[in-house]
Amino acid sequence: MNLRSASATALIGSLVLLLTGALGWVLLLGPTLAHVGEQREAAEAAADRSALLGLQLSRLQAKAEDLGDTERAEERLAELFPPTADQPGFFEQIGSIAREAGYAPGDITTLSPSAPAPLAAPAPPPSATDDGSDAAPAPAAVPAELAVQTVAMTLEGGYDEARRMLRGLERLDRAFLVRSVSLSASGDSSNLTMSISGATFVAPPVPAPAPDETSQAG
Amino acid sequence: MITLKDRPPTQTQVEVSSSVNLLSPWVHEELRVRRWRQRFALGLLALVVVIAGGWAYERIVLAQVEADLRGEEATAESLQGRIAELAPVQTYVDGVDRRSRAVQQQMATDVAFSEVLEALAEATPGGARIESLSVDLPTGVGVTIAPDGTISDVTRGLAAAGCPGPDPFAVLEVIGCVTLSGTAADRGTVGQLVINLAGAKEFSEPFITTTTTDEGASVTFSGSVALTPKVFSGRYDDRAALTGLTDETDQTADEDEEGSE
Repeated sequence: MNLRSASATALIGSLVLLLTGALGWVLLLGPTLAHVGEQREAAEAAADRSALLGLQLSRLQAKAEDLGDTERAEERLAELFPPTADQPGFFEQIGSIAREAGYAPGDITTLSPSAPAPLAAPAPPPSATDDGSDAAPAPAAVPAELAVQTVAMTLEGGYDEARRMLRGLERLDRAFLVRSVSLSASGDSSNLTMSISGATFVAPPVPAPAPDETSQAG
Repeated sequence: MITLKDRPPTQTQVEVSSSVNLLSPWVHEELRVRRWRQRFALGLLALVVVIAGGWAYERIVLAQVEADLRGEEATAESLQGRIAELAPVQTYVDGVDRRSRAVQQQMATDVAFSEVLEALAEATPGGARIESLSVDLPTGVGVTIAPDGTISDVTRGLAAAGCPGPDPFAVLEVIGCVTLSGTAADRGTVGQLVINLAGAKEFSEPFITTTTTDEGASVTFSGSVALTPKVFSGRYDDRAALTGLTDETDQTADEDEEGSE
């Protein structure tokens, strides 16, 4: 084939154009377009993340500006699950509802609260090391956020007093979970001996943020 | 005869339609090759210009996109810093939310025993007297509570064991068993007590296990009756009512926890 012929020139020229176009795409335009696409996707992801963070921040700012509702809720919860056993307060509450139920102070023959015992969350199991030689030390148990105190009480009175006493316990400011009730007649009289066992709970207070920490809301 | 002189002038011109090309075929071929080369050179130049222009344009776009990305990253970093400054607020809100869930969890099986006694008194017919009763519910029962605070388990994990009933094939939802004993004027009165207990919404499956008479004076009876889920007090079911915080606040706490993960 004569390379100086017109047909050969047309063929070679076409090949050169094609090769130039392909090289231009592979070496210049293609990588740049791909890079632009990657950067555009990254920018969109970053914009989405910024929007989510902005939403979180606005919610946090709203909470920080008005912590009153949360503080009132914490106070109410602290009444239900107080931070300590507060035995004087508890005895006063029980005495008060017993009086309202119609029991005389001497009718409460037994009131025995146990010491609060933490309801410990189970500790995670120890994890083995990669080489399997020695197990890593077990992580410390999760601190308990709740403790339970069992309470047993015995009262002497009538059926209506017993019913009103139970109603008082159901409406107590401190949460009192009654687990067992027994009533038994005392001899031939209409008096009943009521034994109640139940549980109250103790929870550590939730520390409120310092004022300067909430003042950064703006 | 007509001679050339006799012809009109218009008829005297002679048109020459053929010509003689003195260039050789090789020269013609060379000329065609040159024309092709010129065309391809122009095409190549145009192609290079197009590629270079496109590349330059994409570089400009890339620079703009990279600037946008840097701006968004800086914004996110700034927002994260401000969120970190308010972390104690989030910790406090989460702590209160966790405590309200703990209250609901622990008190979900709270039973209104006053209503049980009241219902039992109403069901006791004249001539009958309850002299003793006992009910014992298990402690430490696990209750599954949905994130929105609803409890789908009807018995809330309390299952009455060993409470006899008249129908051995019945599958009932009961949460506890009350054992009771008392006296009645006659067995008919005891039967009326059973009917009344069966009709009360608080009770199910009343069953008398013993009736004895003492020299015909009265009937002493003992038996049991199961408690239905109607006796749950429900006082701690509504976290919003319990704390004064709306469900929206709770959901926000949930979403924030998910977002931080």
